[in-house]
Amino acid sequence: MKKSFLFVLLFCLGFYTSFCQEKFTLNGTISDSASNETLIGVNILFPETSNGVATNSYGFYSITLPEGTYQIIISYLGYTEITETIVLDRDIRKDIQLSLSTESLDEVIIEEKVERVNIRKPQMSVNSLTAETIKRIPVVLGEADVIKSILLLPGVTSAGEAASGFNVRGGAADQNLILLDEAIIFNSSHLFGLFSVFNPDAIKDLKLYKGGIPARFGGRVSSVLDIYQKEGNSKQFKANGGIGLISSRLLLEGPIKKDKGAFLIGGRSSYAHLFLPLFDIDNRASFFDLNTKLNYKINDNNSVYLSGYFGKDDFTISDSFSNNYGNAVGNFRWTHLFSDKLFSNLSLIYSDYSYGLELDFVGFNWDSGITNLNLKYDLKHYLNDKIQVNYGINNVYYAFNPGKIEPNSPESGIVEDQLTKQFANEFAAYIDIEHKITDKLNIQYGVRWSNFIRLGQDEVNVYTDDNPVLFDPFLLLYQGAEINNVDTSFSRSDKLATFNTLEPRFALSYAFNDNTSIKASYTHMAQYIHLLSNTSSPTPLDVWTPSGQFIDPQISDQYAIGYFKNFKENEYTLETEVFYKDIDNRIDYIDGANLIANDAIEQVILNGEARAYGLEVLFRKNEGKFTGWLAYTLSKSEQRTPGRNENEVGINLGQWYNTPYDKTHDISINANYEMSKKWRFGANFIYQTGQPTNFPVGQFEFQGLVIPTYGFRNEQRLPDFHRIDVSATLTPKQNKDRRWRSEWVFSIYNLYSRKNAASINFRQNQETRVNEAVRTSIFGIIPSVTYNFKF
Amino acid sequence: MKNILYILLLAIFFTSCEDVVDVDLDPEPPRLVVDALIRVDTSQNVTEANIRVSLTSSFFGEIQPAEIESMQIQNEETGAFVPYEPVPGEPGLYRPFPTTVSPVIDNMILTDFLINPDPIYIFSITYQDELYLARTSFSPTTPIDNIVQGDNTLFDDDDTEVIITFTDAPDREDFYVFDFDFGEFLTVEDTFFPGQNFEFSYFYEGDDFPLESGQEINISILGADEPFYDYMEQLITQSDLGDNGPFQVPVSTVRGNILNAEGIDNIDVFDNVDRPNNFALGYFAIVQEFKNTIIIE
Repeated sequence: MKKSFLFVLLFCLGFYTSFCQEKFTLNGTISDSASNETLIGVNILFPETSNGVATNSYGFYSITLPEGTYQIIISYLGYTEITETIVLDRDIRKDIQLSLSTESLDEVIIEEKVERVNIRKPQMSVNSLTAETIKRIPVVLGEADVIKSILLLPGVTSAGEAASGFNVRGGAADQNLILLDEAIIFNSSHLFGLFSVFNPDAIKDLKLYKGGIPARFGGRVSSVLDIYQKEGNSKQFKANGGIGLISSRLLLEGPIKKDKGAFLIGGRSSYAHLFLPLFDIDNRASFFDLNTKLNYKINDNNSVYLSGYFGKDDFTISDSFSNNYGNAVGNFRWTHLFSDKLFSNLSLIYSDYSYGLELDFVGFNWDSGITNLNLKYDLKHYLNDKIQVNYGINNVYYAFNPGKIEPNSPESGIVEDQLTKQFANEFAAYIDIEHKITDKLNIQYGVRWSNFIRLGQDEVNVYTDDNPVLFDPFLLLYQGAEINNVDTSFSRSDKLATFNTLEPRFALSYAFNDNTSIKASYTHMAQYIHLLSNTSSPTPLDVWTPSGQFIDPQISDQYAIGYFKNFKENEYTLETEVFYKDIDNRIDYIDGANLIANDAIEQVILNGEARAYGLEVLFRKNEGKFTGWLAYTLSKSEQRTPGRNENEVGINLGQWYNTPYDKTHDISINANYEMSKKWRFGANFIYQTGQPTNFPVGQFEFQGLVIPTYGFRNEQRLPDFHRIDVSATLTPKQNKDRRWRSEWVFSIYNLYSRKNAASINFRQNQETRVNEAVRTSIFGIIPSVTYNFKF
Repeated sequence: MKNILYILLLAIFFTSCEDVVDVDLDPEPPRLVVDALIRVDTSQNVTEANIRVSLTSSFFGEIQPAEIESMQIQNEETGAFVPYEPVPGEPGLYRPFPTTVSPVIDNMILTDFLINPDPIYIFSITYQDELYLARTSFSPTTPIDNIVQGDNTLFDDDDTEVIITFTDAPDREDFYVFDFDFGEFLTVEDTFFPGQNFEFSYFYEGDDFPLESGQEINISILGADEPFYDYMEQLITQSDLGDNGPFQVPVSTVRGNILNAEGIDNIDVFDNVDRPNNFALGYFAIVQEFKNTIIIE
């Protein structure tokens, strides 16, 4: 099956390259005339031939056509369209600069081009947002937020209003590959999930792949969130920033050498002591992040980039409990043009996530984290006007620190201990072909081969029959097995376990005409590292663990089919998709599993499975004074962990149960109205089926403790969730000659102050000793104001 | 570059609130619950070893006592056993019953009978013609070296801190359960302080336990084997899920070590896999206890 797939792939490639006649290549980079910032997704169209190409993530394009004279149109919404005639009688390098059609603070309309549906491209299940769109969505406390914005898209949800992470098409939060300038980000949340770690000022563009994921991506089974930072303005010095209720931002960019190199540095910091009213305790909660980037264009064929991201959270309660955590990322990139048809990018990336905790009243410090070193080499080969081949390799080396404990004072009874560090290497090679078969039929096919090696570590637990989890058939309980002995004979170069996965990807689009198409895709993916998290949404102290002798890689299959239509000259677009996804080896935990500081994590893990299916509809209005979208998702997300054999009952008696983020109906409406140059309005409406939860079926008492009992997992639901947010943006009149531009954003979150339940807990009231059900709602009505500036 | 001047007036209306709501529940039929935690003070000759049996109720209902047919604790090796009888006037409470052969004096068990470290104690109970069994061993522990009241607080100004010091037994893996009175328990294991003198603080949250000056509090250290430690840890977690919201762990019915043995004959019925809902709740454990009293200043 897989063999024949590869054969077809090679066959198609060979067949189409052998038809070459006299052809020439047009290529180049497209950028903004004011800043030299490269532009992603610009269309270069050849109206006479119905051919076209779009710029890639680095702003580069290349197209090969038969000799001739062509009219070309370069268009990117918000920028002045360029029409030119080109005599293609030799290979031509053509770098193009586009200028903004209107000067406004927020470059209002630019994003809509890239966010619009591409009818002919086989790529489906992808949503794009630009920083400008993100900044205009009304949000809690006025903090423009990447993750909270993508939650408004179909198929994307979370485990609650202030939950960390996000869930794509019923997948878990650790199944999202989050890339910032190609570096893997392991924790996307500030302040336990209230805000995300991405500073919207420093971001150029983001794409969320929910399905039909191209072969160049791998390592996670649900989605890819691909975020690009801005490169920096190489023409002139610019600054912008904002002052909000929670944090302030400042971003500076400018040339190092005019038209050749630029720098960008952006910082964001919250105000400390911010959450006093929230928790009513003596505490400190703060975060900051710093985005930096340098780029230098050595010549027409070579550019280098250096980018970094550092983020940190600090959360302290009255000197007795403090924790801090964050990501650090460094990335060196070199893009090189081998020829006008062959574009390459080499990246060397370091990223880490670390978590630190001090518990003074127990007397210890705790550190855990994950570090990885990532080498990527990607090539894009624009073979001819019909075929583009992307191929490359990727090698990631991981070091996992499950935890180190140290006494925090000489008086502490704690003995220093390092839990066994784990190491792994993940290598992948891929080939991905975008192939225009006919004017109507486009296909994209590829395969990724991934190889994961769990490397030797200092100590390996050995169990009878290699079985770390035992089942008691009388008490019907799972419990950890005795460790027979600890094998310390392994060196770092030994292989404890090796996994190989061939991951085919396939997508096609069939265009009925310029405005209507259907698309279908199949994606097979493997995920080798797992976040050990047994809560509804991840916490900062959760640790990652690699697959190995006891934990198998997660494997997903996803099928999607969709219908896409543009109406009225692209003023409206409609995207509908249905998908089915199943995931093998989804890890689940035995009752009472302890995941923190556990040196024998295999004793609490069982392999289960997960599945999700649904329907997504996205209807957008792209142009005019009134823009926005309506997203609707009807879906189901569930998992189960049956017994490993017929003599076991499994978790939840082996029954399917709803994941904590399963929401049957999910409706989001986002609307923007441009009333005048001075005033602009935005609104969201969100309605979701209440999250799954558990109501007790009884209670009992043991030694004075009152303990609820439960039936099957996640069978009840919280009340439905809904709210409206509104915002108004005031751009004061400005003198044309002055560079200083500013705007005020007033917003109200949860306009009608609905007490949406974040949870309903059942407990005994400590004062009255009476049992009660307690609803916790996080955000009531929250007005806020933000000031943004730019010069 | 021009001067950046800004004036900002901020107003935070931040509301995170909790309120009691009405929820319709769908209760399951009553189930047997056994509280057979026997705390042994080894310095005493006899040990009070009363056992409470009850029935689960709807979460908003009243827990009812159970009436069982028979109950006993047996030493598997010697065959010696302690039968139980109802305590008059206390429905659901059962006490050791003195017979000519049982090691029982004044409805208390001779301590020597209870302190065998091998898993030889079989607890059996018959309820509605179903036989339930549990097995355990005696779990020793170490005394608390010192308890003092501290003046730090954790979440609230009116929290009360107690500082506990004890010395972990060397050369063995220990599990501890602390009983802080008022149904407050804490589980501690010695992984990170093997054989050390260890000090930690426990906080009575002021909102829940407004302790008064002069008030007496009993604080105990209890021995535990790993399964009992796990059981208590799960009980503590499930009884106080608090307002964790998105960080809530999965809920579950915490199952103890009392198994339904009715009909298990190893010929037709080998185990309980085919009747997963036929079980009793609670735990049978025999643990050493050191009890201390502190008077709140």
